[in-house]
Amino acid sequence: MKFAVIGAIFLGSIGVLLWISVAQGSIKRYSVTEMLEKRPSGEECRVDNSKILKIIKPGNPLKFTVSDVENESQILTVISKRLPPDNFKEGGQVAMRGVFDNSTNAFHAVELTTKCPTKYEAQPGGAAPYTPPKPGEKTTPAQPEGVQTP
Amino acid sequence: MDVLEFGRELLFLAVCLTVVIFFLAVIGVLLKDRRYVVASRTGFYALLVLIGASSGCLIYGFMTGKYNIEYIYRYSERSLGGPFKFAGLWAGLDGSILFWTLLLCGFSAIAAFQNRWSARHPVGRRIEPYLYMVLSSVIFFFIYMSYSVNPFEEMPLDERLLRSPDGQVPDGHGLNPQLENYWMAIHPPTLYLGLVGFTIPFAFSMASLMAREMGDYWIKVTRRWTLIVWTFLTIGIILGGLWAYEMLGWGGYWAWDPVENASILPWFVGTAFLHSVMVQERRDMLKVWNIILIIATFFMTIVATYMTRSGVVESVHAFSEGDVGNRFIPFMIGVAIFGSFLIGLRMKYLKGTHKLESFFSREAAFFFNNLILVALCATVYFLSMYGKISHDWLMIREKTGIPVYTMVTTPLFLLLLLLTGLGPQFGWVKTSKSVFFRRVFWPTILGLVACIICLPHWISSDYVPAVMAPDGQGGTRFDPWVMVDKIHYYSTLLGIGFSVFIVATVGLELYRSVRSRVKGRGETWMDAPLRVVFGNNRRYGGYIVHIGMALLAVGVIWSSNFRVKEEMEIGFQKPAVIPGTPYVVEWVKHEDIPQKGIPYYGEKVDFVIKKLDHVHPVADAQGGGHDHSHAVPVATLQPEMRRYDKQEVTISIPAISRNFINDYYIHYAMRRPSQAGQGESIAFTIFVNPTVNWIWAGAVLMLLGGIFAALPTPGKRTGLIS
Repeated sequence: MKFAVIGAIFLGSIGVLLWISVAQGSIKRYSVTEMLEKRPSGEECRVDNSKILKIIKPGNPLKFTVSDVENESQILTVISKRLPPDNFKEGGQVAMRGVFDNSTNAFHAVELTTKCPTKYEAQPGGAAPYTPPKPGEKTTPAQPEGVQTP
Repeated sequence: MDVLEFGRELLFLAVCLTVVIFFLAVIGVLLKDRRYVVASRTGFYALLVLIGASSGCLIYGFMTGKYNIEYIYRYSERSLGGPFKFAGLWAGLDGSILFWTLLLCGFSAIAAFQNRWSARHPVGRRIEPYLYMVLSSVIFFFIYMSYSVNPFEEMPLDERLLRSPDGQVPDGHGLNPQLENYWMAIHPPTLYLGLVGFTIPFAFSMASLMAREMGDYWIKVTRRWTLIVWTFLTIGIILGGLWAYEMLGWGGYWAWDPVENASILPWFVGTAFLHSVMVQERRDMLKVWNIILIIATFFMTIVATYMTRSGVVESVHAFSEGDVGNRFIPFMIGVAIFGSFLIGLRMKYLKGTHKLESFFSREAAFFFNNLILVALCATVYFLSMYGKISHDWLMIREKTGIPVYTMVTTPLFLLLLLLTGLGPQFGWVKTSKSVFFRRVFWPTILGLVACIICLPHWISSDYVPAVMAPDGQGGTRFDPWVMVDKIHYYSTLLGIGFSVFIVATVGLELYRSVRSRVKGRGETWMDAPLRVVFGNNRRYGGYIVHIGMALLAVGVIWSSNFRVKEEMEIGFQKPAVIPGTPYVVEWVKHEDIPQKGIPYYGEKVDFVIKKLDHVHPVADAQGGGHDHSHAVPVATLQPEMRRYDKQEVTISIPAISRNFINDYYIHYAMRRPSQAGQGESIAFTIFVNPTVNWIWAGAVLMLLGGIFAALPTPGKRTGLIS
């Protein structure tokens, strides 16, 4: 009986810890459409299942636009000081964590995660923001901020 | 008939054969005629031949370039190396299910072969036909799955014409470049061996219930099975981490992603089972609990398969989004209902002869070990599914990340570490407190010494202020909740202390046993340790696993809490300090990789890391005017950027320079004209990861310990049963 009581207390404590952790640590997720509707300015949140439409500036800061995978009508501008991860390319999928800023009308991402290729699905994609130049080629100058690539 | 068509027909034959095997076993029971049971047993050998031949046909297709087959087209190409073509068997969803079936048939055939001997035992004879019923039912499901997803399906003609307008067989799309890594060729089979292997103990337990033979026969028969498959599962999980570390470029090995969690769920329950069966063997207790654990372990292997093949959880991994995964649901429900029903039906046979008597007993230690492991499994499963739960049930869309996992699992892992050291110090039934405290005295002192040694490093880090929170007026105030939130900071010292405690308890026990042999039997100090260890390989194999776990724990704790990560951009031959470290990084060379005999082109960048005689608190990018001429080179790294035109994929291959203290790790991001307008600059992420190699070393020890424990003990009967 005493073991059952101790076991119950132990499992109860784990439950409380789990509850506190989830309450404190979980963050809201939005689709691009929801993000543009609600504009939760200043709140840390995630944007999942978004598709990279156009890479406006490939670095420092990185600037690009995303839409929902299924619906390209709503477009969100994203700015990030992070280096682009592997497989970060137009047409590819990206998940982001950060804050929406109403004043710049853009999502400021502090974490960018692209879909990792598993053995189950190969994802065909578009052009990469940075591709190593072929031997003999020179690197092209970075676009100034705000200028869209053709 | 084409070889690949033949492969599919073999699958159909195999489905039919499983039905025959099942009914032969049923008839054997009904007519009490052993000939039917023996025929059923022989059927498993035939099944292995059929599935082996079917898999061989698919491998033949990969090796000979049958790209008119959709599956082979998607995961192979002409320029792919032979081992990776072979690995195509498990590279995609369709083939991986066939591979799973092949391993299952292999394990079942071995179990059937072993039954040639165990069937001489009266209990073994009664269990045998039920075992074949359960195994053939599980195999039936997996062969049916293989048959229905059909890895042999030919590409439709219009699709082929689209890919190769001249009507010829096109070259394959090719394996994803990030999967072309030797660890990725080894990791899935190792993991699958672990996951599939748990079917055998499950089948034995169910067969025992069906035959009303609820002694510990099934546990004795499957003990070695369980140990070996658990070892494979452990190594498979760690190899997955090693692949992520070497290929993915984020400098880590575990991110609590659902696909990783899926593999560790059965590990938690399987580990609990491995410990609790010892209680049943020694004390005839926890019979119901053991049955529940082995059903849960098997169930979790199917849950893992379901999670990674159904798209039910969101992950950075691109899961399959078809309905294949959903076909596992009825099977899972069936396993749960069948298992629960049998336990309920046979409850009266499952009463143990003893009860837990004292907290100071090994049974109690195993009881708490089991509680922690099951709680870990439940917690990780809940957090993995939280995104779906919050969306479907709470009508909110939330996601948990690494901090939540860390906050919940850290105390549990710490308790587990402590119990790993404490458990073997208890005797069965009851241990006197004086004996117990005498046993743990020196290990405790050594653990405390380790904590004191680590204390200066801990204090010099920024962890101590983690008891303070901003007070909203520019200052800070004491806030105990911050301690909960930053629990992993405080876990560092405890974890190191507990790990040293584990090693010390094992060392001390070995010393006591050796001393007693030297004094009692007159053996030499050279001979006695070998005789102690090899004469009790099951116990010392377990201890080697415990030492491996301690080493792994130190590696994980230290590398997680003291890792340095910095995103930097530097010019050519302009060394820059990595902030907060005594290291300087310099870009010294750049070269293109000529596309000769390889399916990509790309570039290599050479970096040199040098060590200063002091820590630089802040960055001095682009040289910063500091003099680094006195710095001593400690590592040269050559990360690569590769572009695969065919797959339209660019990947950066990180470079790692390893030693037992630190890993220097660079992930190259891009080369571009310098912001200052002078020449080019390189953007990259650099990590200084301490003690990562302790993790791999710990894994090797766990592997060796698992194998050692599974070996037959010299001088004892090596048969399945005594």
